[in-house]
Amino acid sequence: MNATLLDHHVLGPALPRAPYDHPFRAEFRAWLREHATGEPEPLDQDARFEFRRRWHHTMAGGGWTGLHWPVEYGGRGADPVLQFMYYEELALARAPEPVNTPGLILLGPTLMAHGSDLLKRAFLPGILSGGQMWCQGFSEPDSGSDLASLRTRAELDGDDWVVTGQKTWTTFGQYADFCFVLARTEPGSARHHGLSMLICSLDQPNVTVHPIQQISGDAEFCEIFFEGARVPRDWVLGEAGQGWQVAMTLFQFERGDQGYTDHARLLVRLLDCERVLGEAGDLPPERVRAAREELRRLWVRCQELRLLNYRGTLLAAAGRSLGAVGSMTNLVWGELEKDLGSLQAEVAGARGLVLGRADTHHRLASRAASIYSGTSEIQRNIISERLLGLPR
Amino acid sequence: MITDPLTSDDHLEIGAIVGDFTQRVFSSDRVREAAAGAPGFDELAWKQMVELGWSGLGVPAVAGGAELGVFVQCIVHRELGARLAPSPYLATAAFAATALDELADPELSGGLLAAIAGEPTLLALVLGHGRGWSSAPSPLVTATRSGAGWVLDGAVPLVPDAARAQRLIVVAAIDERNWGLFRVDAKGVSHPVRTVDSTRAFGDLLLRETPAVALHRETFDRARIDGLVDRLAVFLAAEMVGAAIACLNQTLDYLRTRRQFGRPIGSFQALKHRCADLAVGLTTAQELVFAAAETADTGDAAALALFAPLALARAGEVLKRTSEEGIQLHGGVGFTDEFDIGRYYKRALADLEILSGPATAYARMDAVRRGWPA
Ligand SMILES: Cc1cc2nc3c(=O)[nH]c(=O)nc-3n(C[C@H](O)[C@H](O)[C@H](O)COP(=O)(O)OP(=O)(O)OC[C@H]3O[C@@H](n4cnc5c(N)ncnc54)[C@H](O)[C@@H]3O)c2cc1C
Repeated sequence: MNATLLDHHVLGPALPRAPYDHPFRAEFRAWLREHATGEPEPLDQDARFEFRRRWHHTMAGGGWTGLHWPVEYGGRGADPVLQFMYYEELALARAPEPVNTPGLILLGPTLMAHGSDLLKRAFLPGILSGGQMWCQGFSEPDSGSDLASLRTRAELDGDDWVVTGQKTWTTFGQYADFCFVLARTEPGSARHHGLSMLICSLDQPNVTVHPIQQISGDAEFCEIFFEGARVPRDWVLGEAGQGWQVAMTLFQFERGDQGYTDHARLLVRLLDCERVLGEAGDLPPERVRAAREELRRLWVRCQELRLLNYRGTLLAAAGRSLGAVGSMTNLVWGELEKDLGSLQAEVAGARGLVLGRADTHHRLASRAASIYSGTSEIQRNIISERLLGLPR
Repeated sequence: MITDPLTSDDHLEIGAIVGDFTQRVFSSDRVREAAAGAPGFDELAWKQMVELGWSGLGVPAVAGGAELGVFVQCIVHRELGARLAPSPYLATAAFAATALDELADPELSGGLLAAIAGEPTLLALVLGHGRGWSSAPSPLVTATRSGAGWVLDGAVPLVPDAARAQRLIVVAAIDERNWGLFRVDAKGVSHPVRTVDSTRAFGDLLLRETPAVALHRETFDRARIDGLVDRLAVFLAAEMVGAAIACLNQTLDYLRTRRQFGRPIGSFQALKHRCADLAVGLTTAQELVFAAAETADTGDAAALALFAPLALARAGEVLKRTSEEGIQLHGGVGFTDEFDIGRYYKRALADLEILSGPATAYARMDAVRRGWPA
């Protein structure tokens, strides 16, 4: 225990409304100093998931989860600015990455916005405590960027929906207890109409989950086959047939939550690159020079991402919607994550090819960052059409 | 359009008032007319701005100013940038006023600051150490005692608005370590230079035993000059993002209306994605500028020493990029003098030289970061 916490300077210049001498930072740092270990995440996927789950329980035990969730749902009802500082402090403590983000960041807030009291009571406590794990069942083999073309369907049979179809790229499906499934519930409906967001238990015989091998060596995402899976009639988020609107709410969280687009973790990794470059390694001087230049460019881009997260925070604090800032944040983060993954392996030189090393793994894993939660191209479409008003 | 960092009702109201005024007073025709006659100057507009109290926004209340701070003043700069206004506002109300406020003794400079706030005064700031945060190999301007007063010697190329200024505020070297702030009459020492950007009145400066009045009581070191440049950079960067926003908007208007191949060219995805990237760069640059402005107002000099170069570098890069793309996306008409889009490009080129470009700003950023604990 007793982690060393990195200095605030690592984050860049102090932001006027999230100052480094804020009492919240001091309070959280005191707790982190006691409870965080700074231990690197295991490379083995199962061990890594367990490692994150354990950390989540530690944080839940200290009351440090769901900071900005309303008190009635078990949170602290904190100002979004505290949440901004919270993520920064976690990164400076080199704390494990969050677990169960589909539950914590996506479904939880969407439930609060659209869910019935029954669903909120049934699911919010488990999401916050980490007792129940979630996954996101949107993409299908033939419906990725064009999500509205999806074909998974659900029909009412007595008091249950019966779900039939295939989802794919479902991250952490193998660890999840529940999946939120976007399905066509009105036969003959097309595109954005007639869809519903259903909460489906994965613990039933008519559901099969197959992990898919990734280029990173992990098998985090899965295909899920629903062959007559049953969902209680009122486990629908929002109204039946309004699933697209509910999904849009969810995308707001997916594209703008700092938990997904954290600048602070990137800045800590940049610091590590800087330290490696400062050691007398065997990287040729030409490559050291090029890496230093790239490092500086990435630091500037991290500051830009930081200000986008800050703007998103201030908008949330003012009760205003994120709008296209979410797409910008997502785009900037995804491209940056890939370039940082490349730099981390680059500073290791040829050793960045060796399996079993974190930098080797991260470079490969980072290639997904501009694909999931809407590809960079789709974000640019959204920015140019919705924000800039360019014609379709 | 892109997210506006102005959120409070007060700021939004100021933004609306300033936007109204600049739109009326700095119409494209009037800007072209004023700039064609005497580069960088619209006399009537300047008088009106002084009457509205805008020249004194950053001037301390004791000197008769409004003392509203950097953030509010940046709202004005952003709008002036958007209209490519030929105005002495940057040189006088931002650069000269800030230097006087930061480095001069209030008793010696109070009259000048009061004049900035209350009359259509014309001042220019001469940085005798080099351009922006960079240092010339030896000081560009030196000060020597002469009897009871001082004389200045040196040459400084392309000082913004020096061609129109009545008086010059000069940062000059006294010896190896000590610098001072001086006032000289502009007459006979500044020589107008015609540049690609006719909306700014650049002048070459030649000082030869030019009599000067000292405005400092204590001399200051090189670090203080860098701190001054930090503050100047925020104002210039605000003008640059303002210009870039207007430039992008004009380009978007054109993309929505110009048709080729039977459809608006703005529906071509290759162009859409380029505009999206411009919008992202512009959004983050603008966030940096207003974070820097807010930081200047809170008085956190250490944070400003990073935010200011970041803002200046990114605003400069973004304005240049946006105006280059603006010309390209307009096709042939983008290359005509009749269309305004090329004027943004020329303004970009000029603005990038005022405090030197991104390279020196990044060097400042590096130097500040090296001074930090790891
Ligand atoms: C690591 C990882 C985890 C994921 N986790 C989940 C998950 O948990 N749940 C889930 O539901 N999904 C998940 N996804 C799926 C992800 O959302 C999709 O991969 C993504 O939406 C793209 O869809 P696609 O793979 O079908 O690619 P396609 O849509 O076929 O796109 C292929 C290429 O074409 C481009 N393209 C497509 N349409 C356009 C257009 N209109 N304009 C310009 N370019 C276009 C894309 O940008 C891309 O470059 C995950 C993906 C990855 C890589």
